[in-house]
Amino acid sequence: MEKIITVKNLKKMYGSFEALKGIDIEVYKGEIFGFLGPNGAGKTSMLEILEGLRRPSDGEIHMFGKEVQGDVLPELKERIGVVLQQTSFLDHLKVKEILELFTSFFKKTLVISDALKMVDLEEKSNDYPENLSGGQRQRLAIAISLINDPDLIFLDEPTTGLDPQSRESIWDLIEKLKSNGKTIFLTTHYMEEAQRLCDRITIIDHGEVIEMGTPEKLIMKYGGESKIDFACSPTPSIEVLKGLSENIQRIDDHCRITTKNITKTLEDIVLWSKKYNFSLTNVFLIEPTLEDVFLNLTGRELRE
Amino acid sequence: MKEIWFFFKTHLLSDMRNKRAIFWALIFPTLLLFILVLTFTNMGKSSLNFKVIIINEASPTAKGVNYANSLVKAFKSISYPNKGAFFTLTFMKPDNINTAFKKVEYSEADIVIVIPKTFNLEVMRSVLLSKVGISFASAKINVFYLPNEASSSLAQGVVQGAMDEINSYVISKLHYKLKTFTIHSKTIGEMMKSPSYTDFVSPGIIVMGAFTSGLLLIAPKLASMRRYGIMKKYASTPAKSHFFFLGFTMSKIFTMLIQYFLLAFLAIYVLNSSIHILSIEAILYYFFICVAYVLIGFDIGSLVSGPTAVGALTSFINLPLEFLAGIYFPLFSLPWYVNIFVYANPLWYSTNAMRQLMGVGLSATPMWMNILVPSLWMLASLIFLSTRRIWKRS
Amino acid sequence: MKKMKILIKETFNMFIRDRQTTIIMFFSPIAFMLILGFVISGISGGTQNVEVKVAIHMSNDLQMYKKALESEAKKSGFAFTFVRSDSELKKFVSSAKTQMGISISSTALNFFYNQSFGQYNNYLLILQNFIVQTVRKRMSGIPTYIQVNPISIKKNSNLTVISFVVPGAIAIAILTACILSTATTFSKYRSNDVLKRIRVTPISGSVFAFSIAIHRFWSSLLSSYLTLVASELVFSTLYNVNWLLFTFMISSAVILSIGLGTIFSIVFRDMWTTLNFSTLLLTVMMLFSNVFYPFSIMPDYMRTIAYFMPVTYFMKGLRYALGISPMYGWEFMAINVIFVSIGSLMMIVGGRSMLYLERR
Repeated sequence: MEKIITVKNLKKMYGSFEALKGIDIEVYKGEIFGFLGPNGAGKTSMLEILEGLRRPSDGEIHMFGKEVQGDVLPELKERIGVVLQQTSFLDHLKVKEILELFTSFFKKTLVISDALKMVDLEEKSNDYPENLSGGQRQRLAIAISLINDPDLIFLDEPTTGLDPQSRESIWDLIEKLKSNGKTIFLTTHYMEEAQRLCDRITIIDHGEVIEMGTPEKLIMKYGGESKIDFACSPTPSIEVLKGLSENIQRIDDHCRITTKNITKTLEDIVLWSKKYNFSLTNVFLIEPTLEDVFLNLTGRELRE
Repeated sequence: MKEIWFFFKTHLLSDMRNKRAIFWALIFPTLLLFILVLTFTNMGKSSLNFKVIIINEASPTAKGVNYANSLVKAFKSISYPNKGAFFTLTFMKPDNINTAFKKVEYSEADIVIVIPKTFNLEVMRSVLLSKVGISFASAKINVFYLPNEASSSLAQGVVQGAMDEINSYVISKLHYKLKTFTIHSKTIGEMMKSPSYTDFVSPGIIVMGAFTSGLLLIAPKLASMRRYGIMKKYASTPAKSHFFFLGFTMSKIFTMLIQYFLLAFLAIYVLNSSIHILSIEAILYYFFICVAYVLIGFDIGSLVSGPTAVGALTSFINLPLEFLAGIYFPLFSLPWYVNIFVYANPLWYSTNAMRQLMGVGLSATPMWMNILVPSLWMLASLIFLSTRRIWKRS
Repeated sequence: MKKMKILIKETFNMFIRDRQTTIIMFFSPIAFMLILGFVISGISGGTQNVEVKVAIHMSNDLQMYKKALESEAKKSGFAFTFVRSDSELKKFVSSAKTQMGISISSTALNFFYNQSFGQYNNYLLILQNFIVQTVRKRMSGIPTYIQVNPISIKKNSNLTVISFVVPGAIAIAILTACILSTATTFSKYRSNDVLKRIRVTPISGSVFAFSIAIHRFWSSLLSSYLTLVASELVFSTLYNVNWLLFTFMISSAVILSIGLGTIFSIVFRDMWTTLNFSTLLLTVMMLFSNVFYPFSIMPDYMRTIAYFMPVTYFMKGLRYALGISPMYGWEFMAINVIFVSIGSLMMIVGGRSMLYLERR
């Protein structure tokens, strides 16, 4: 597969503080690459180095097969789109005018109405950005990043601070971009977002890569056991419960079994309830997430 | 009460840690006072230096008398490098008169003095004639100048004055009796014997400092508090809005009081002024205008969209208001339509009042007006403010 | 070229819709010129000639000298108003209808000043000596042996006091407007990360800075024409304008001030420091140049500072372009060339480093 970005032993120092301690990553064409970590892990530093907003202290970067030394060259900038963590728009310009202004920065550009259509903002084209909602503003920021029809898009925590509905619409949009063949480099501290969108992820903490892989493989490897929650009446005694499994515990009015083999355990529960004539209510399956992966890898919660 | 103290403390601390607030409240007025005093104290005093070209065309009389030379000597005695000089002299030959004129036109010289050919003869004749009591025409020296160029015009005036001295000298030598007059000068409204420029300008700078602080400590702060929803946040707590306004206002007035004493002590101890900085009336009046300016600051803060706008706006309304308050220059013979602005300008009344209360000179406007006009501004600001509902807006 | 057109069109929209900037650029120079014009010409006694207004009360036995005194006054730049009593005299002075009052009797001369004139009274006191001498001589019947005969070098000059104030006011207003609006715009773009966003696109910093500057440029030019027209209308300043030279001088000064504004925004980084510094600099520039006072009455240190102020040369060039005072052609050229080259250099370097510095 074609490599879009190759980073080798990338380091970034802020004074004596080492924000990135030798990062190695590869991003392939057409994938959504997730860069995950808690706040202060070095995600934005990494992203801004790739965008040309920060100078690396050491290491090698190749983008589109060309080595990036010093500044990111204009011809590379023509091929990338950027959504910064916080986007301020130029004052006193309407939505379509902002896009028009940005078309003047690039050689090859999309038609403005197409860009607006892509982010579903056609109706707002004559509005000022200050009159848009948070989600609409973020979609506008994405539209700006798409105006040069880039091959590679950097998204820095694109859904932070948005309501669930807006978040959902941004996710749809990112998926649509992927289906159009764009390569996307995304940073986030939302595991749910990474799990839903990313083809591959890199988890970093304290400036170091702690694991890399597809979300499924990581969960399988580090997610730990699944959980099955259920309630039944009449309430069984502890002894009866222990008869079902050793890994069972009672939490308030329901019970939780941790297991590696969900199908087998589910069958056991059904047989066990029939045997004791319990009626089962509220059976839930809780599968491990990337959140658990992070917890298991670092011993800390992601948003601590 | 506790809430008022809390708002007071919080906002005072926030100002003390804010570079912008410190600059406008403390640094800018101090620097301005320094710069102004530095600029104007020595202006026109012991520093006159007019560039004068002298062309002496006169030839000595048959008897060898040369008044022209004496005149030139007299000019030399009041020129550099002598002490207390007014002029820097350059001598040129009569054929170069056009070059000399050109130099004046191109501001390389201020005036050209030409002593005419017949000068010696004329002086001799007039002395003789006057001795026998026959009326005569005085000898003339020609001073070429540009009437509308301030420098040239002033130089011409100074030469006139110098000539009077020279004439008086000649007269006393010739035993004329000059009538004696008692000369007396009185400055109307003077409270302080010959106030210095520092005395004149300090009350104005103190007023201006309070006004700029009123705008720049309050308006941008209020605008950003509205923008970032802090006002909304306050409004959602049980704290009463007037607690906020009291605490907030008092914190600003406290800073303004620090500013007052800083400027006042600077004027007294560094710039040798003799204004009455501890006059209770002055301090009370200062407090009064601080409240007025704080309210105007509130109005502007509720009007403009963001802190940046306030900054730009203030820079631009400040200058005209200061000029039309007579802080730097006296106001004189302005047309009525400009005077409207002067009469409406709260800074004018405040400056007048502070000059009187700090013992510099009587106020040009009656004291009741100095209280009434800022009060009217206060009232107008309050009415306006009550329509803006800052507390409820985000 | 098409891209450039779009860029300029959109930056034009940004400029023209920004009420605050347009007020600064268009109206403040006119307002500033009017205020400064009125205040300065007020002190000088009139918009036409320097004239000291004096109220005079002469005792009854001296009425015969009235005419002689009046004619002497006119020659020496005084305007006398004769009043009937000392109390009326004091009223005239205290209400600032005249700058000074003189009560003359056969034995005494009493001078009255107004305290609110502050430092200006020092100048009036210099005149006091002159008046005393004149009155004394005239009343003693003593001849003047040597008389000064003032002759104007320029014949038929219809320039007035205000004519000298206006170029200074235009110069300061244009510098203020350009420096402040450029510096604050760029620092605002920095603080709200607009520059960062532009940094990741292929556009060069100097092109972007140019597109912002160009609107300050034409608006300054336009506003200086308007200011000139306004001064013509309000003060009847009959300039002999050389429009070409005027346009040259304004253009190069605008380029210089935009350059300065750009550099300030880079050196001081945040908007408020930029604004604070610019305000201070402009105050110094205004006071330490010969806008208000001629060089010849300045103390040496001020004169030295004034020689380093661009406003001094800007004003000199403007006075030349307006036909007020002559100037050597090469000097005018040199000022323009220096202004334009330093200004453009600062704009290019500033524009580049503006985006470059976004890379940390």
